[in-house]
Amino acid sequence: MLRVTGWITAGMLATAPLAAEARCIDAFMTGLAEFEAGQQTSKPSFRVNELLVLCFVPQQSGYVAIFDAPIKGDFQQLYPNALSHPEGQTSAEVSAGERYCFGTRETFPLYHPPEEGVGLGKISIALTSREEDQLAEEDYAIPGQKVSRQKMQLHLGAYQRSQAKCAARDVTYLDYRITQ
Amino acid sequence: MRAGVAKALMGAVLAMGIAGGAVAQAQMECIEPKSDQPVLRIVNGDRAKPSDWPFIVGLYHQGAKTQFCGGSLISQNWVLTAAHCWGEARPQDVSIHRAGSDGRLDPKGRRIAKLIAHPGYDPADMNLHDVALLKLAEPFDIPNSQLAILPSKTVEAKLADVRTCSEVAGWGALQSGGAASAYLMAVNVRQLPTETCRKGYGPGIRPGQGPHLCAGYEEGGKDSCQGDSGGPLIVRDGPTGFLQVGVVSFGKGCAWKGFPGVYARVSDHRDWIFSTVEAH
Repeated sequence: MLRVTGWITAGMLATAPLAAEARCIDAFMTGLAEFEAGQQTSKPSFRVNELLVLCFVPQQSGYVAIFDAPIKGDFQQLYPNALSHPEGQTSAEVSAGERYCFGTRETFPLYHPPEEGVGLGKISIALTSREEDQLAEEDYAIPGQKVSRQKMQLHLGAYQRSQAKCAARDVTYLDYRITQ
Repeated sequence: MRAGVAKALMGAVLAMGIAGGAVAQAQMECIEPKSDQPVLRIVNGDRAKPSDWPFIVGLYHQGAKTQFCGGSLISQNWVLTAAHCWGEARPQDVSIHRAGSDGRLDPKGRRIAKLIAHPGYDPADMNLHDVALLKLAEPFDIPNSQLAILPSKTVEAKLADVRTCSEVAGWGALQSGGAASAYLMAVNVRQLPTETCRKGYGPGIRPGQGPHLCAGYEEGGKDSCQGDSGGPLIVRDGPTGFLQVGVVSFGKGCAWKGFPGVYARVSDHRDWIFSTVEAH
């Protein structure tokens, strides 16, 4: 779904709380226009081709992998990706309290191209204390489909749950809807 | 459906925990039931939020008033369910229905094109390999993000090991021998060592991480029940937040002390499921 284009690596922006209520993973996804206007919360739906911004703050240092469970087609890895990690890492180290944003003008554009359909999708942000607790590519398989966790070409959604205290593995999901 | 020992979902209740979307697994608390808790309190638990179970389906006999088993969408046109659901039922007489927005079965269903039970299924041997696949005549319009994902042994060990808090749902009886629920119900249960089920059911329950999965509470109180058979036991983790670790298989009564629920372990049947779907 969401396509990632551009050439700048995923960036880390200024440290700042994302929400009033701290969770192990605080995250939101919104439109680029709203983000630049100061919005720091998720919105539930996005239009085709709308530029998006995804931000998260881990409350614990560790390893993170962000995936999109798409409307149809491959599970796609948003981060790390071929731009941010050219050596092909499938998870990236993150530091507690730092804010990471993707889709901003300082990073790379994220959007949902029309050929990838409309409907419900889901982003997962998995934070683990050990790199080996991240999932392998084959763990994303759907019977009868050629699904792989391709890098690049991703997108996003909008709501989150995460516990206040980090565990060895914590996952936040962002549900989203793409409309015409 | 359920015969004798065959069970279906728990009529249970879900004390809290389930409401509210895809929740991080670690966030959900398994509420240990008290042994002196009245059964009705369990039976009269909260209804499930249908959007938390987008992949769940009910199996419905044409002309019947209620569904007889549950299942899960593992792709747009394949349903994973229990083999024991098909003792008397004929695929051509059954339709598959998702949950409507109010938790009732959506009246618009799908017909079954093919039924494939696990070749090793043995109802006389603790419902060994109690899994079956249904190929639908017409796919459901459900995005991949809403499907149940089947864990490998490795993933199960990482994300859903023994003691993990899991959830099971269905339209089955709200108490042992009781009537089916009109609304989708769900309950959280804890995965237990298979030794716990061997104590109650005997050595026929395979030890370790084999074909049987034991879940519930040793003191009873929460469980799946008749009519829940074939439904999914999930952990809210993995790519979609719907990691299906078990298929409701059987139990003695529902929520009885010393007899937790027995499920077909998905990871133990994953290779068969994938190869069967690919071959058909």
